[in-house]
Amino acid sequence: MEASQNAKDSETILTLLAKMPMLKMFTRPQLAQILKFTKIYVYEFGESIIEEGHTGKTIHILISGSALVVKAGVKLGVLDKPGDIFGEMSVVDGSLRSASVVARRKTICLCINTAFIEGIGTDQDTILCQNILFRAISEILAARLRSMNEENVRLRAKLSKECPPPGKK
Amino acid sequence: MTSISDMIASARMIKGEASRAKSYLMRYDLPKSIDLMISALHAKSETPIVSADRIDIELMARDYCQEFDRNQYVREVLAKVDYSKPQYLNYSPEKEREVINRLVVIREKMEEIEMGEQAKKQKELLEKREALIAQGEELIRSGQLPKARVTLKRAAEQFGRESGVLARVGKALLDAKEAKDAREMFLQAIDLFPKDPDGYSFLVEACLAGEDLPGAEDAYLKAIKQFGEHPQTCLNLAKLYLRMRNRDKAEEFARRAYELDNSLAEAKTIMESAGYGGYDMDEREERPAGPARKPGSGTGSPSSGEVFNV
Repeated sequence: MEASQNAKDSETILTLLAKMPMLKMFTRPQLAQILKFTKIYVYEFGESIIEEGHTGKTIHILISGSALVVKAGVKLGVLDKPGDIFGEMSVVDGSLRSASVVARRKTICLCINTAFIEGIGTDQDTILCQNILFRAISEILAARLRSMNEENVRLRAKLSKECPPPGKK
Repeated sequence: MTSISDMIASARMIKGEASRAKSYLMRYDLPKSIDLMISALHAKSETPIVSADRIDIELMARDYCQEFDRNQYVREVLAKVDYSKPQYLNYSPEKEREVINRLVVIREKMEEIEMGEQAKKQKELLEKREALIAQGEELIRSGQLPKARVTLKRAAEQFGRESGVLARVGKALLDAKEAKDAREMFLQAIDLFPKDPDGYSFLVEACLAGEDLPGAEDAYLKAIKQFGEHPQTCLNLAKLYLRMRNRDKAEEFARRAYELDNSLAEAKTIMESAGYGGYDMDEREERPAGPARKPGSGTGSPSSGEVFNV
């Protein structure tokens, strides 16, 4: 895993942050504040970006590459679209990471350390940033929940077709 | 709380899986090897294992990781993803999950490579098949019939089990006036793919081209047996029987065709010309007793069979 830290990279990161749908509600000065707690990481094939069972206060945004979501040795899904976000659930409820995210080729991620929020400025600034951030995370989780509900319905229909209850053909 | 006996049983199971994982690895059955190792490591991370068993399992895991990294196929896969480090798997106690994740990812990559290779192989086979048939057709067009026959027969031998190939090859031979060879192809096609109507149509065409009227009759009857009675098929068979000077059968099948579709004026004409003039189909009066319908010959409603236009 390589991390970027120099000034030229800061400008690049700021530009990338501004493009992220999740962060579109932040103003440029606010993004510049967030920048202090943001890094770009480069992951190699097989490298864990997030580990199941660990604590975490970071949110990751995929810039390029692709990653697998793995839980208990089982592949759950793939993250391969620039702008895909992961790691936000632990930030919301403080629980341990529910799954691992592993790079399946060279992958570049933006990593935002949400512990920043406490030190961002005045109390009002902090509250405002927290609100915006949690609003953004809520939208992501709501979309995921909707998608999982649809998948649930589809799988139930398939299951009842292939394994009908006893007594029915 | 896990009992001692449970711990011993778990340890035994984990060691068994780890041992089999290595065995499959040495035999280059990587998917099975990886699945077993993932299972073993996952169990190890979830179950308290103590003393000698724990040490044994950790040694086995370390040994597996080293062997895995030395495996030639693994090196090839890692080269494809530009993985530059000398070690891919690095086991240490309590870090099972990291190894599991790496195994999951490399397994997925192997599947992707294999699917890509299979797709490539299938594409090559498809191209080879099409090239052979096209070559045969080209040889026919250029008048090189002996070579065309050899090429088309080779295509039939290599790809005849695929749907539609024998019918295509037969059609090409038929177009080259090789009715006998074409007939063989169509007979094989019907044998392998009895539900494909093309085989029957072409077989009739080949038989008629070779003046093999009994062969054509047989083809029609096979089609009727497979697909049921279809008005056009019955009509065509009636016409064939006229050519064979079998008036009774001609009349019978013309009548069947007309019963299925009373817009077929040709069927009525055949019935009349077959020597039963004055026959009023609609009234069904004083109709001579015809031969009994063959079993499975339909209920009079049009079947879903194809039209055999010859």
